[in-house]
Amino acid sequence: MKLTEPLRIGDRDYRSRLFLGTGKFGSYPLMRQAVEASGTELVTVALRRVHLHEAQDDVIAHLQLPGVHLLPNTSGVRSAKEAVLAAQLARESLQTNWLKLEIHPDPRYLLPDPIETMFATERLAKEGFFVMAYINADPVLCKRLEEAGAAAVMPLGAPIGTNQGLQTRAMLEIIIEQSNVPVVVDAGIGAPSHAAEAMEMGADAVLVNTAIAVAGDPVAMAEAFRLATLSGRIAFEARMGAVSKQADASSPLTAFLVNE
Amino acid sequence: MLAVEREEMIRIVLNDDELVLDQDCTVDALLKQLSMAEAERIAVAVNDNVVRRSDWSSYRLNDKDRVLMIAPIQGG
Repeated sequence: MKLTEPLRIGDRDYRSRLFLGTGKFGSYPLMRQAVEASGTELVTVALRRVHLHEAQDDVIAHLQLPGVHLLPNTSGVRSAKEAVLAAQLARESLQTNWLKLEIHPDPRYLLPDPIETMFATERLAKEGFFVMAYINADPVLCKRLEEAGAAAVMPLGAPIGTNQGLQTRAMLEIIIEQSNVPVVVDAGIGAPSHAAEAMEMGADAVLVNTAIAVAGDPVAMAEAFRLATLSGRIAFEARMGAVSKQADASSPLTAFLVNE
Repeated sequence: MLAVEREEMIRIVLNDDELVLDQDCTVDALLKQLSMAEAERIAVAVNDNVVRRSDWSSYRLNDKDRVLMIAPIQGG
């Protein structure tokens, strides 16, 4: 049985609507098991300057799983110029045109810089990248990024790593309503219920990292997120009933025991 | 003699480290010197321009070049 519609982003179809970040896992084997348990087909990796005289251990070797694609991010850059170079290096390193564009110069809240993100998206889309832009939940900015050629927009639910859930819910609703490119809710998703909530609202996918990586049992939590994301999507496609203030009986109200 | 030696050497900055290299050192030779030539997912930029892997053996470094060498790590 085909449970949900596949999600098309760029030149690829995804059956799983849960994307995973690979940061903060205690070990590579744990990360790999969580990736497998999540059912994800897209995982992020970061780039870092090579530290000389340090043993190089290759994270990618642990992420080579059937059907799992890599999404390099630009974490650590502070401007559009740096992001463009990071993207070009990522493409060279991983042989992929896919990119999670994130430009967050402020270390306290890690909130993305909309102006630099806009400039970088324009440039990178022209260079043939599938840009998935991490941004604040700003509906106007999302439309501008769409026009600039973003393959997907990734509005945040709450600041990165906070597990606060969909603090930006009202703006996410507008973004989802208006967007012509996939909307991936990223950052702040702290519990499977948050992922389900985003999917029920009509988000095309969610990206989760911290909530899984720092859980007591990351592999079990990955499974919980897999189910919640799938559940939320099925609910969305099944079209939920309307919300109302007054009661509406689920059982017949005709008199049963007493007929007066 | 010293002057001659200086002329034959170049100074570059690799990530945060200053290195002294032979004149005419290629990117490939630099990576070999660092025992990183086999590293599959290293990417290199010189003065903010990516040097593709296929060009490593022909690209000669110059004095004062800024070399950026990156590799993938875990991240969200």
